[in-house]
Amino acid sequence: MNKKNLPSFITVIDIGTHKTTALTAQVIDGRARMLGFSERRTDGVVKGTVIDVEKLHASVHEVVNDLERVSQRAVDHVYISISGPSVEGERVKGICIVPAHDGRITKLDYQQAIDSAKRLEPPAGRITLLHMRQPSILDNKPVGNPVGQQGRRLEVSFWRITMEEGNVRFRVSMANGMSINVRDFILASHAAACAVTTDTEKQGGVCVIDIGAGTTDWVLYFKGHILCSGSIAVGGEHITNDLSIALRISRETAEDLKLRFASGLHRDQDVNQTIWKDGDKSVGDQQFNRGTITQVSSLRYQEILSFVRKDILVQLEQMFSGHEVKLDQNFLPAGVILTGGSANLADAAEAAQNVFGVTARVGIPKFDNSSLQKSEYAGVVGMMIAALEDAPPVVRRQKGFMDILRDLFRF
Amino acid sequence: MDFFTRIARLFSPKRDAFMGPENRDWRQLIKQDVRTIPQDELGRKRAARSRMPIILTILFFVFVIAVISLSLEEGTPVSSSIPITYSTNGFLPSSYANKIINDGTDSWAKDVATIKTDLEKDSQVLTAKVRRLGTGGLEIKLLERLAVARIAILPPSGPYIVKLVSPEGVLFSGTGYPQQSTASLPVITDFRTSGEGEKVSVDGLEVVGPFLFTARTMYPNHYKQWATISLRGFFGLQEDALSSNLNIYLRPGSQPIDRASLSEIVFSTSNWRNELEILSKLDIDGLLRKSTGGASSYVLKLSIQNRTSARPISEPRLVPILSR
Repeated sequence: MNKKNLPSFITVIDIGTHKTTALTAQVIDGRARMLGFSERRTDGVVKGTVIDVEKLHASVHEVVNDLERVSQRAVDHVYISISGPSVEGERVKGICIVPAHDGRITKLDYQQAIDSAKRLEPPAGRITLLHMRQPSILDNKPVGNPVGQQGRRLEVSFWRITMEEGNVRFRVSMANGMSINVRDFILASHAAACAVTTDTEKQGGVCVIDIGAGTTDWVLYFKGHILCSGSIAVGGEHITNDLSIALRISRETAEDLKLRFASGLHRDQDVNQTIWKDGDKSVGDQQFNRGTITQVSSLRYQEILSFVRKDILVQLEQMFSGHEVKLDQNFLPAGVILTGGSANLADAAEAAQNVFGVTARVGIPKFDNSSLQKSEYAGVVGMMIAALEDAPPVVRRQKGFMDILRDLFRF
Repeated sequence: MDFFTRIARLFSPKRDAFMGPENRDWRQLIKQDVRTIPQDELGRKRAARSRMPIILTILFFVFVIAVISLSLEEGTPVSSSIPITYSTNGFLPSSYANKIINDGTDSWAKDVATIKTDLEKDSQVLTAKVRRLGTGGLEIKLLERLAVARIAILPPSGPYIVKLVSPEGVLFSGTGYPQQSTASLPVITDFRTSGEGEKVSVDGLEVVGPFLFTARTMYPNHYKQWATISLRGFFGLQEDALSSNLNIYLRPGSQPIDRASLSEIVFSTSNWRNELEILSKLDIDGLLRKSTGGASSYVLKLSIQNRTSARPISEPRLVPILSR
């Protein structure tokens, strides 16, 4: 019987502080055809930390239920996103002294170096979730594939993502409790980068910042590989909170004003503008000075970006201790790409350009479905792309009578 | 794993070959334990929804198979040449079934349902079971009515026709009954008829049928002695009907000759069950031998309903026949 690649299904769930999004797609010839999408408000998560397990479980379960109803397929495997302060990254490396007298590196040597890198235990109470490949270094020179090359000292490094054990166990048991297997975890910032960057940008150097509601995750690529990543527990909700306090309004009103009038930059002409809360000037409608809104939002927005910049520099200094590291256009030719809900703020890219001193843009995910081509969906779309890249082609047995029946009755 | 889960697995989609990267540390440390049915309400709904197509598919196929089976059973014409397995609990010959199958304008082709209906048209047949056999033949099983009495009816034209009476009081022709088996059945006489022609019906058979059937099955020794049942005293089933009786005449040669004989037993139409029970308890032979009336034959009046008397009468009453 000839085996051939048949359509399979990929489901990804991006659990954020403010909302949980999920996407299920059928994979046909390496492309994902969307079958269902669901978005629900997340309960039980504050600043990327789970504070109410049952509420979060219920939120995610609702999303899964929506997907199954829309796609008419039972969800049995999912990719789950990981983000927030509980996720940490660090560089691990394995070294292999080439034993061959001519210095030629074999597959065995290469594997030995990989194994020694992965053998390093994570800190106590944490579990290694991902090993993301970094460039191999042969005799202090970066190489793509070292097998067959000659050298004495092969260094293979990975960007290791670890997470608190309790958080991992909770995510797995949550999925299992919904009759679902966890296929893998995907770093949220890496997922967003998959959706909005090209290979060329990654090759040159690019920083992707995913500004969510409660957390801001970032990832930096260099020479086509992930260099480092991080997360800070500050996000768009802080801007809402600031506006609520500054204007003495409810959080709901502040959120509404933020979406309509907040900006990453404060301009002098904003001070002269007056805006109305509802716009109909009826009883209860309020007027505000737009300058106040943009000033508050831009300050907080730029502060968030400067936190990220600082975090990146700290990581890079740890990585290249003894070398001066500059976040400039030479290091990041592709600049900074902003994603997430808070990237929709007016002048967000300009704010990032001011803070980082490099070119910046708002990333729009590349996806067939136009309704998902928004920066806030970069995470979930990127997860689908990352899952597609990660997963080998699915080989299933040839269509038989039962397969035809299954397709006919959709079970 | 319970039976339902096994069935669900059988019909569930094959898991993708790719279950996730194997070389993940967390996969080694945290074993996944997927619940088949999630505990919360939403989970139960999802489980039910995911199983519903399987159930519907099974029901669909059961329905399709049933429809095909029934259409093959009933819709396909039966050829006269196919082998027939015939059985009956009575005396109807197999030629009767063959005649029905080959009857009609398209005599060579009748479906199963029509054959069953035609077979049941004869009142001698209580029910007919007709089904196709896997070998391509036809199986006919007849359940015939039991005969408990004979009756001679004079139709508007022609001579008397002897018919048999079933326990339900239905008249039937008694096709295939041997002469000796019908000869031993009691004869119903002095009956009234209603209706005309083919729709003629005999009054009182609805009582006589069950009465004789009870006597035959529960009191066979008495039933064997009964020669005639006269319905001259039958006036209906109402309890207040004046002396509505069944008069049973016994066979002359069925009693000893050294004592007076019992020639008639009178049952009431409404209380015959109790009277049959009383009859079974009576020592008739002893009573007749002790009788001092001097008569040669007696009537046993088990029925006393609506007969009031100035002085009490000991029951049952054995009444001598003084003049005949």
